[in-house]
Amino acid sequence: MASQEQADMSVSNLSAVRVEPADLYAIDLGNLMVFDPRATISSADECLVKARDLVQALNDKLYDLPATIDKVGRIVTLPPPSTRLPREKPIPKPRPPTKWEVFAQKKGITKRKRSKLEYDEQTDEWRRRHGYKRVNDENEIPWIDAKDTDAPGEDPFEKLKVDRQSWVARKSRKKVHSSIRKQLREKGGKGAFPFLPVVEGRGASNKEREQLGNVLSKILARHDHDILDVGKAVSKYNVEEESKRAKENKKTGGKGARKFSDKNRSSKKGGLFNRKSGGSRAGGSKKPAVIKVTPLNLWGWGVSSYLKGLVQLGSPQFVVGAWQRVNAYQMTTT
Amino acid sequence: MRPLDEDETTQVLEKLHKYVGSNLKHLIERQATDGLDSKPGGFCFRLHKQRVYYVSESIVRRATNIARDKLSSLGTCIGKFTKSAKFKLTVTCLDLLAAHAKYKIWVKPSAEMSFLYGNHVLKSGLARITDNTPQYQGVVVYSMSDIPLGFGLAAKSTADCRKLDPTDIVTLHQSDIAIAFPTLTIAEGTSRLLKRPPSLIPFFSQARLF
Repeated sequence: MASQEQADMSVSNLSAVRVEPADLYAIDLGNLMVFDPRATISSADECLVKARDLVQALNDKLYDLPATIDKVGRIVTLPPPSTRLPREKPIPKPRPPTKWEVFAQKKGITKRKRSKLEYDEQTDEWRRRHGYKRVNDENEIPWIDAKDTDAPGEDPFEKLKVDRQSWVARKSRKKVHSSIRKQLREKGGKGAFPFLPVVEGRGASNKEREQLGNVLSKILARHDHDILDVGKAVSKYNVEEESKRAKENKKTGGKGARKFSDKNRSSKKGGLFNRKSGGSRAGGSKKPAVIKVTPLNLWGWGVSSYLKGLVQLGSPQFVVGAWQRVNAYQMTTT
Repeated sequence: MRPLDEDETTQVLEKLHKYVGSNLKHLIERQATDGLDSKPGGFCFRLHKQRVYYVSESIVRRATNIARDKLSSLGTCIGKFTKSAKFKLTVTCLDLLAAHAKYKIWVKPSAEMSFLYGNHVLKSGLARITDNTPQYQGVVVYSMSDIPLGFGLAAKSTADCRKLDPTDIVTLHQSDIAIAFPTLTIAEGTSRLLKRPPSLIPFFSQARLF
């Protein structure tokens, strides 16, 4: 009897252990990302509902994190992200071998360490390789055997010295060339460049014209020996400022009109988290609020919004109507 | 083909400044009056195979469609970068320099041939010189009919020129148009060459895209 009861209880207990759908979502708090691998969505409405569930799950997880209370609300430190994102750029190609490397490989030349001391047979002792009292010092050659090909009156010691000097000069010239080649190689050869020339459609881009203008003014200033006319310089500066301001005003559609400048937004309706009503939750209630999702702010919030660092959790009451793109700066500014 | 970077631009403009002085501003901010586009653009410098070209923007835009190894030249070649990365002006720049030159030297007809053969200009060959030419200033050499023959360096300032012997050098020869057309000079004779109108190097002045 007792065992029968126990059996019944165990069976009923099995049904009590139910896997919450929320547990099967892949939630990456570091990236504020939630992903349901088993979702199948057939209509827009279903999409909304599903998204709401996902965001709710994420929110629940966020509230589970340990939080500190600040005057603006809860502050939570997100854990490091768990999803590994793919490489943004392709793997860097190995550096092309230098002329010497190619040659050495072809010839089979390997690096070998030279010792500091070398044995000098003439004096039967160990001498250093370079420096004071070195092996084979050219100044210490006592005599040079005369050859038939030697012209009379020619000083072979002098010849040795001159040969050495010319070799040193040739070596330094080659070094100059190789340093230029090295610079080009580091700059990225002929490919790398500070600005793209034809991006803006016209022949010369603005950056190129700017560079040209800068160089030109530098050169003209260097060669201009006139005494500085302060009045002229001041008026020139004023004219430049005026034209710059006129250009900026034209861009923003008239004087004072600021349509979508970001710096004003944060002071107005606030971000997704309306800070006004955040005060009521500043005490840090444990119960996570229900997220109201509407088509308008769905875009802004998104299912995977990418935020790093601290996130202020005030009341997650969405501003309906005016969606705002989520970005890290809005979330973290006070 | 690519634009010049800052060091290269500095070198090129410094060289041009030697001959053209403060007119360098006009040279750079010049607008292309005739061209392939309805709205004329300016001019810019482009580097292609170590040579620097002064091209109008309408041509540059079109030249980007040509493969690097197939592009022979574009606009006006004003000079080239040598193996040790120094910039040297070539004679094909003469049209440009002559149009904006500050200091000019006119050479007598008797000394034209001598200059075109590569000799320096002597006091006896000097017809006219602009006032206040400093010593070692870059100058453009003209014939008496105002045809630019080449460019060089003023060996003496204008004031010093008056005190010279007839055999003293007034202008150091750097480049002349006979370098560009050696066969023309020999085969067709200089008189024909020298009677041509000022834009003496049409071959190099216009865009060559092929």
